[in-house]
Amino acid sequence: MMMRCIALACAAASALLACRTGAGSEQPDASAPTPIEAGIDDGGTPLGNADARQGPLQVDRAGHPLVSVLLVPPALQDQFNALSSFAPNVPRVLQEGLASRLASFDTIRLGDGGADQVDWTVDGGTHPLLSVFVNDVLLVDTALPCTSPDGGFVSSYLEIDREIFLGGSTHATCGGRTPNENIVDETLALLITADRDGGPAITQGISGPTKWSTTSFPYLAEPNEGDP
Amino acid sequence: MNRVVGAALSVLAAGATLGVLAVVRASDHFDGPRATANAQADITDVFCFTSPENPSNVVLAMAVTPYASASSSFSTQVDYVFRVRLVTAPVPLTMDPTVLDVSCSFDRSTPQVVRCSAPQGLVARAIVGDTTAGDAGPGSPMRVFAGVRSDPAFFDRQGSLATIASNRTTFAGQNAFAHANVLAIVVEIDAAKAFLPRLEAGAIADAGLSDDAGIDARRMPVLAVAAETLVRPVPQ
Repeated sequence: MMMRCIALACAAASALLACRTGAGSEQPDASAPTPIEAGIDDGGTPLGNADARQGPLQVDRAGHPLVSVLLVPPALQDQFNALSSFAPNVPRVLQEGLASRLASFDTIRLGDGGADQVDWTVDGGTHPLLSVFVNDVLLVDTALPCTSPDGGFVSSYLEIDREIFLGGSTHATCGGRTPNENIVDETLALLITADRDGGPAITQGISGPTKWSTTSFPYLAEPNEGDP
Repeated sequence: MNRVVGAALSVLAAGATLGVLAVVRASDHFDGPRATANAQADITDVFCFTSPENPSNVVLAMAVTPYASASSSFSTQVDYVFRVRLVTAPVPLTMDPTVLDVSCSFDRSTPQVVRCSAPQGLVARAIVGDTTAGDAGPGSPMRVFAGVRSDPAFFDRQGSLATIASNRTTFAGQNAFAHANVLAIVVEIDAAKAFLPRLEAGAIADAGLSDDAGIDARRMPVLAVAAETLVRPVPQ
């Protein structure tokens, strides 16, 4: 029992160190095997590939940005990430976790002011945005462009989602997600104010990335030099 | 023994507490203990848009490995997969079950070579870092880039952390990913060749749907796209 507790403590400490290293304060040793190559994660937990009969282990998934970091409670993130992107049934605990976060954002306090008004009506017990984010996929219309006549990317994120799930107007762009779009501000405004007319401006205060993506392949900007 | 158990629980509690603080990062960076511990499989962002260079093409992009360095590499044991389905009806959102995935993997060579496969037998290869995709132009049925790029995310990590913890908006405009890099995979593919044959093959009829469901899916060739990283089993 004692040894088991010590091992658990070491695993927790190791996982904690992994989180801190991930913040960029240290660079990994390029010559050392990566956790994946070693078959374990940094907490010493088998990655699930020890038994080939179990099949691949899904480590992460992503569709809409910010879902897993803003809307999924930390204790459920591994479970959320391990779920198939097209899982027919999302476990109730995940749905409840997302719904709770959605409700919190709706009436969050704004800076030094009071709580924002209720903008989202929970219809029949279901937050209207739950359908948008619980199916964590990007919807892209392959028949429409996502560039403007002057050649730059247009803002298109959630356009099809708004049409399908929120009764928005017919989409006029490809939807999906283009680089450079300030999806953080857009997401915060949607969650907190439902984009209501005259509502408070919600912004994280960052106007763009370090380098802007371009409309030429491979689109994402060339790397930065040196350490951040 | 009680002291040992207590110490162990204290460490676990501290780790859990700090872990909660540590995992709230950015678009998708560090989203959970398992992804955080495996940077090569930690998806940071996903993009999907019609190609600015060829309107017949769709671009699928994913970034992994927060704070990548020049020596960072893709894992040879991970499948980097774009999950793709055809939307057959918008309301309620209905997708054809046919798998239309685009899957990429990397070899152990130096530099690494990426190989991506897609429906209809489409395949593309490139040397990591080659921005020309092996001279495959926008008219190619499929082309791929993989390599280090500037992190496209811009996100006030500390502000978000404080916002969630206090239930009060607390942003300071500090981009946690300023001047950082990621590893990116960018696949550009002819949508009609790869994905839309399924539409022509009767996906809408197969789903038992009519155009009365809302938007005419035949005039709305919409794809649902997500990215996943999967560690392959080690052969016994």
